[in-house]
Amino acid sequence: MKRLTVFVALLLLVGAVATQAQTLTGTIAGKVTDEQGGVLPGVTVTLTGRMGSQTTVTDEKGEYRFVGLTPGTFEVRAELSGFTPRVERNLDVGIARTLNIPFTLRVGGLAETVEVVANASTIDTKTTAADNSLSQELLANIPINMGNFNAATSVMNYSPGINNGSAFGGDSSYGNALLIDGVDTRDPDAGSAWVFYNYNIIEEVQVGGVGAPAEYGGFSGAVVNTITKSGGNRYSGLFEYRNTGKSLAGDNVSEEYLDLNPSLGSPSVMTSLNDFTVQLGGPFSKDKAFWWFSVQRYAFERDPAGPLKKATEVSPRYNGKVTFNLTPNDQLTTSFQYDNYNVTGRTAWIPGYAANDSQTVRQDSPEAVWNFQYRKLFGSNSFLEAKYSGYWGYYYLDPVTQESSRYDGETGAYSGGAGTYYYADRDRNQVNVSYSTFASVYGEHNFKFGLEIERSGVHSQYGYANDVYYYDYGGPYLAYGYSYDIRGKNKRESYYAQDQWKIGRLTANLGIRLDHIRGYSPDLQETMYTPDWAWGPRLGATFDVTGRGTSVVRASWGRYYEGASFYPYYKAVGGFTPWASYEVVAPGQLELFDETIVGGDWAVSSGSKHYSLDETTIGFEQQLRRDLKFAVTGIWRKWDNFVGAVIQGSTWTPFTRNLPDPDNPTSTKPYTLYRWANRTDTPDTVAGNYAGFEYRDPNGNLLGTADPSRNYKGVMFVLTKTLSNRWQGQFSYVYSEAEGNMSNSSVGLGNASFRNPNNALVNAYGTMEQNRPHEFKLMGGYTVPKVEVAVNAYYRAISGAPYTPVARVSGSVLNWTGSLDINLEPRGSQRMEMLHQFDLRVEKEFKVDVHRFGVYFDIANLFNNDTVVGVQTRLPSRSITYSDPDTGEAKDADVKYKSPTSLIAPIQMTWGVRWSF
Amino acid sequence: MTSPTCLWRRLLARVLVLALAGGAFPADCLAGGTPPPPGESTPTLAASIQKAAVMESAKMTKARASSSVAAQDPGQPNTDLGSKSFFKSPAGIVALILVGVGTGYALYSTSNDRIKSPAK
Repeated sequence: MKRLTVFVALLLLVGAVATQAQTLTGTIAGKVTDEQGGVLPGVTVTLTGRMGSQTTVTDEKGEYRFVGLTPGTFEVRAELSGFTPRVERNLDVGIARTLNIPFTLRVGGLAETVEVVANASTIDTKTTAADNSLSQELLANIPINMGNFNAATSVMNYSPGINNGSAFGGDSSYGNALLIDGVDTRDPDAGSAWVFYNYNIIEEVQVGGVGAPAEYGGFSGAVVNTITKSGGNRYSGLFEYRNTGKSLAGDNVSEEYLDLNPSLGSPSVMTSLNDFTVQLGGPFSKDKAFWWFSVQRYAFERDPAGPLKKATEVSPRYNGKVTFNLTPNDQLTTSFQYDNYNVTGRTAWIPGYAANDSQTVRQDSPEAVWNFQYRKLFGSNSFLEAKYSGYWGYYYLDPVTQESSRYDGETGAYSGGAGTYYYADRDRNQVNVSYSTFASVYGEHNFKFGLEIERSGVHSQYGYANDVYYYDYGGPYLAYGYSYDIRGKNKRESYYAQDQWKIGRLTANLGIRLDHIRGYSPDLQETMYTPDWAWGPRLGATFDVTGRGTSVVRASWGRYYEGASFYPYYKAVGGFTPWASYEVVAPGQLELFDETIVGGDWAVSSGSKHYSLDETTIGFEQQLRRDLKFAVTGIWRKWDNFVGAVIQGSTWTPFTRNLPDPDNPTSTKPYTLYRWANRTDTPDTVAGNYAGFEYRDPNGNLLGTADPSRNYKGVMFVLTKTLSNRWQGQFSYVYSEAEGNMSNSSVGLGNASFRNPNNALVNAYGTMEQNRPHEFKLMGGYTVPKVEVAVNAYYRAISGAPYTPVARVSGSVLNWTGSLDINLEPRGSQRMEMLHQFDLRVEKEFKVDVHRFGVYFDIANLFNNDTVVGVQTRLPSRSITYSDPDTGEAKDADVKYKSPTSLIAPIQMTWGVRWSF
Repeated sequence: MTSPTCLWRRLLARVLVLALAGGAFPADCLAGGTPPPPGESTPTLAASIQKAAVMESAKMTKARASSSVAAQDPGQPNTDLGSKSFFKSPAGIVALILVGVGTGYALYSTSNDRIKSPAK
């Protein structure tokens, strides 16, 4: 009972159970034997960490286990009368990882403590999931937060195989589950990041998804699982201040680039940054109750690219966590976050290269995140976790002026105000219950069963300032009006069962997950989106090659389903106004001449399957030394059941049109395009699994068939050295190929790109936009002795992004609702130059007792590279309006195909001071 | 962790063992054994036991100290961070001041810097 009390005290510090990903804790387990290999029951094993100690005794098989450990560093001591005690120190426990720490006790005389630091394995020999976690030491020291105030998305991009938010071929904005203390914080609208948080509230972050077990779901890219800091028996604190300014920024735009695109003359520069954090944590009552909180406020000003002169962002953020030991077997953990974003200088209807400061919108966006977790122990092998979590928030974009926007088709000039407003209200509530138990029946089992219930709400409003925007042509000409006010409610229940079944050196990871997802319209009081129940089997195995836990072979196959989102059914819920076209008969006087429901009435097909991913992995991990390990993983992914929109009953007339030749932009060559033949019949748009949809001409002849696809294959090498002898690091290389015709660049579910055969059939297949065949990432740090100066760096060399030459064809030619960019070559046929970037942090550290003081300088893009990360893809050229940097006068530039449109940010230095204990 | 009571019991056991061993030692060996080096008095059994007990006690103390250190958070030198008196120390006072100032300014900023949408 006493041991359980101590055990429970440690469990109090566990973060909340995940919603889409369950496990936020780790395990240390092992076997104690004598020198002859005989098991030793009755050995007292003591675990000590930041939050205190707990003790257990080995069972009849000589085994012990500590479960529910908050990620961190621990030591374990084993002692038995008549034997010399042994201690293992500096054991890093990560999220959902099991460390196997065996002990061999030798007969000894007196209580002489021997420290063993060499033999323990740091590899989890049971899980099939690839471990891409970033340790706290790396997070706290490498220059990882370079102006990005959302740790979830920035941290993710430092992991192997992930770039621009696209993880192993997944969608860059919508494919990743972003969890903070187990709360899925994505926007239920489409799945992008919603809740932002700072890197210095992170205790540990796990970036995974490859080979994930059944308790993980709701993603088609990666899972970013973040644990925030907690209090402990010892008071801890962090105080940090960061600053930068325009004088600390450089310029990497060459004259050559300016000649190609004058709009580059005004690169985006952070002109000021003031960012402070205060954190404190400790016990209310030793071993019984703990608290931790953090307050951050950052404020920055930026001189954006283009005519804009100033964009600002101010955000205070509050985080807190409290844990209680109600009884020895009952624990309660609560956490919260509140923040608001106050942003100016965001562009809206008028694009960034043309908008001035009065043609922007202002952002008001507060949010609150909450989390309540209860844990109940049943003996030492089983526990129940129940959790209620969620968030509320909104972001409202209002134009600075209420003046309507105007675009002059003759001159290409924009005038008026920002032109649009957008209001987004979101909420999410989730309940998770899970039961975990260990059992020894025909081997060892680690069972877990879980239930998740999600209800998330979306309310989005959009419209034009003064209800219209104007299309002029050398003078007042036409006006257009459009708006929507739409609501949706996502509903999901998920069930899962999994087992890690260990028989000797072999561990089978078996699991099944079932998702029941629906989309409901509160306005129509009708369930709109009803995909089939999503069955997601997970099969995997690991084999401990040597039996010492230092070499592991892994293999897995699994089916994963994306989470619930509004996108598949958002256009079927009503609330859209028709697209109204007006003639400007006199200033301020409009005459309506056309009203069209864009795409006809939208419906959602029943019986569709939810968007899914099939993944196969094979891997090998080897511990080279206690502080050094190497892993290689092969990954194959195939996405399926794409949910999108097609126009039922539409017919298309093929015709030939000469478009620019990418190989010789001054000449043209013929392309087959498609004109909507029966648009006036207003056939309906239907969202669902559109694979196999047939595009036909007015005579019924088959023109082509929708065949959405995306496939990825890659091999990932990762070499990791944990902190020892003053240095640490991680090196990774990933080679990958991603092909298909379903873009992985912020598309999401329910996309409408296949409504038009010009998108679906003309050079649609090729290399995915987020594919980077070669990716090198090297990060690490070394502390120079005597002077105690830490040098940390992050270098990456990544293949340039692919792009496709396009030609813009007007909507009138295609009888479509607007202009379309037609692919002139297969998707992704061209590629930009390779990106090289080197970021550096130099920190002078002073230590006084347990207090650490540091002064650091972060330098982003140390060598001021000018790598092109965006090019003008339209042939033969495009007119771009920019602000003359000398006169401020608006000018137009004719920017040719392949000319650069954006470069990586120039060199910029940020300095900071911090105190921690 | 091994309790102090247990350690002293072991010490006593050792002493008893030594005493018994000394008692069992053939008297004729003691009497007729190799004479001590010049200048060194012949150690009595009681003195030997006492010396052994002192040595054992010293080792136990060292072991207890090691255990105590091991029971603390790894790598931490002597510190009062585990005690509420930390906030009465200079470092604790400075920490509280920074927390107060930082939180106060953030709260001020929450209202002062707020961009309130006209739609809300």
